[in-house]
Amino acid sequence: MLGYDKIRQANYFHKIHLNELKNEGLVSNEEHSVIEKNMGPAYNTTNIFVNIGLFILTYVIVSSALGFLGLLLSDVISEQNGWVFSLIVAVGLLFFLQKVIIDDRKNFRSGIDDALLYGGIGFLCLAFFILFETVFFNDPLKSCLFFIPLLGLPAKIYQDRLLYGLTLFSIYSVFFLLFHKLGGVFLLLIPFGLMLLSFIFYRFSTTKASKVEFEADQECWEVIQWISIIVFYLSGNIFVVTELSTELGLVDAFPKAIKLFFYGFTIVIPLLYIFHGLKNKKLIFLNLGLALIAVGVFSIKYYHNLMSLELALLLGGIALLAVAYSAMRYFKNGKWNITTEPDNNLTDGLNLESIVIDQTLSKVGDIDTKFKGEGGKFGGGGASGAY
Amino acid sequence: MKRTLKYLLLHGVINDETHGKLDSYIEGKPLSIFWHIRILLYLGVTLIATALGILIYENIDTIGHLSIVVLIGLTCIACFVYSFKKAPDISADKSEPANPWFDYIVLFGTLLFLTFEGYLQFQYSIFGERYGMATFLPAMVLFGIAYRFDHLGVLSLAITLFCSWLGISLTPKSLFTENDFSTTNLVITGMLLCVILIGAGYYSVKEKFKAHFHFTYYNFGMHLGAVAILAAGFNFSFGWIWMLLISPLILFAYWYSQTYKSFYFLLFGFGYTYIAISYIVVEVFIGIDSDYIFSAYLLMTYFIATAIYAIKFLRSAHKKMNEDAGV
Repeated sequence: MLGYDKIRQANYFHKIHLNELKNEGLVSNEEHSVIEKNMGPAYNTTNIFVNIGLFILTYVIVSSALGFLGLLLSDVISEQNGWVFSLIVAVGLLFFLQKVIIDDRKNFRSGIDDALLYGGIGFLCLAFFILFETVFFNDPLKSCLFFIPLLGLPAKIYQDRLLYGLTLFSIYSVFFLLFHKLGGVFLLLIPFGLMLLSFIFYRFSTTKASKVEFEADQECWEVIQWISIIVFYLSGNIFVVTELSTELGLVDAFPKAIKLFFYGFTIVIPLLYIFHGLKNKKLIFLNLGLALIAVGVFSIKYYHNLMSLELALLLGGIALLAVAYSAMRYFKNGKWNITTEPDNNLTDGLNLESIVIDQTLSKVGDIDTKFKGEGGKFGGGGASGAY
Repeated sequence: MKRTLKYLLLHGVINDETHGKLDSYIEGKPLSIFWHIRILLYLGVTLIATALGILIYENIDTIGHLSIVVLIGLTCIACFVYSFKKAPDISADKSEPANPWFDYIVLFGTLLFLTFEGYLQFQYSIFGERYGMATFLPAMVLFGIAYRFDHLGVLSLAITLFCSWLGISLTPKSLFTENDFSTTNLVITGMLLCVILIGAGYYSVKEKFKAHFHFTYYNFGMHLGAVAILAAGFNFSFGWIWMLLISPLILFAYWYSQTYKSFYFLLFGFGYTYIAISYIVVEVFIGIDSDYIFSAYLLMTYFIATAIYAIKFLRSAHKKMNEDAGV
């Protein structure tokens, strides 16, 4: 059977949730041990640092092994048969992934399986690219059509979030290129078409995410949700629309009313996302809404320099503090079932925050570089020896 | 989560009543926007401090200039008056902020202080030609602020400022991009700072004086020391001798990872060791053979074998750490 063992996979998620229940004090240590003992086989859980380490090391092994093979077969491999070599490597990597890493070594989201999967798919794409370079890959539309099954099939089999996302991008690209090819009024319909498509994808992925049997599938559909929410916004963002129209030779093609609609869309949609996220406790909308507000402000500022940079920063800063203050006051008593209290361990977050502060704010007070050009700056100027 | 509760119910681990209770608890659990508010506060403070920093110099020859300087000075004083008023009593332990604003008012005051001090040096050369003083004194003030108000962010800024006084850039990005460790002096300074920082972290824990600051000290110390030593190994002749100097640092990273169950330190310690050993091995292998073909085979075999070993090591270390932690 291709893909992961569904029982082990389900138990993998049960283990994670059991730990969460234990950390919240809803399951005692004793209960936790008993449940885990009786749970049956499960894939091992890891953490992000292990995953990153194993991912990089797997690539070191794969690259070295391929380098070794390449050296051995350097006389045999040529431009004409390069696709055979790529195909053999792809099949070899995917076979090794399935047979050894998943079936025998029981890896799931360990970093090793991800690295091998992406390596295998990469070589598969390369093989097809070399083989069909003149047939398919000289036409972007055909290329994207080709990528949909090439990425979508392994995405489904291995329940991989990145491949799900890439497949969705391929579908978006097909739609975009098709409208581009049709030309005329279809070019003007691209933003609205993408919005409609995103809405459909969002509704579809939401339904799928709530109905699928396995959590790994649910997470994949959640990626589709994320992307469709972002693309929906970007389709009507004034910066994206204007720049894309210019690229497509449609300068000032949209009537003023439509342009005004895009301006409104750029600012209103992130606010609606935030409202929807708070009201319905949907973190995805809240997070994206906050990030997209910044995108919206930059988009409008790009075309309308209403004020100087420093004044914009000052007013923006005051507005952010005002919003934070109002939110703290409004949600103080648990309105809308929202709390301003932390819901997890603070230490890691605070350590990370201190690193971010150091990275972003250590140049405040940096005067000499800008005004004297002598390289004596706080946080690095001294390193040049100019201080 | 709901799938897990259903699983527990189906397997008789919990009864209907417990399932119902847990299910309604999860369903009714409030959504936390704690970190969203902190990000907004952080961005707000950053934008305003940056704006004031620009304003002060953009208007340097105008009538409004002095009022901006006075505004920055007064706001800075106001921030610290508020902070002193609201700050918990001085304590060697971790102290909780008086309110969610507190940390950001301290940070805002600190940033304004740095802007103000930078301006005074730029316009009036208050430290004259002693540029070192213009960095060292604010660093000491920032350490004072960090300890008085128990602020990890200001502590990081203080450490960075202190290192820049000695000529080393220590922000996470600039550590790798802006330092030129091609002079022995800078490498030795880097190593010395590494010892000082790790020593400060150790002292914090040993004396139980703001023990929770230890991660910040250790983190900066480990990365700075490792980057300085590795750069020396790459740049200087007899690089392998420099590389050997990394061993105490690796032992420290291993000790920390075992003591505090920190996979982060284990991973970086292991990564730095791998780079150091691989560098020596590459140097040796390249010297073996003049047309490099045999060396290439050897090197690839080396990387395959060591990476397999590394994977095994990291997995078993993670497993052991989890078992020790009872996860």
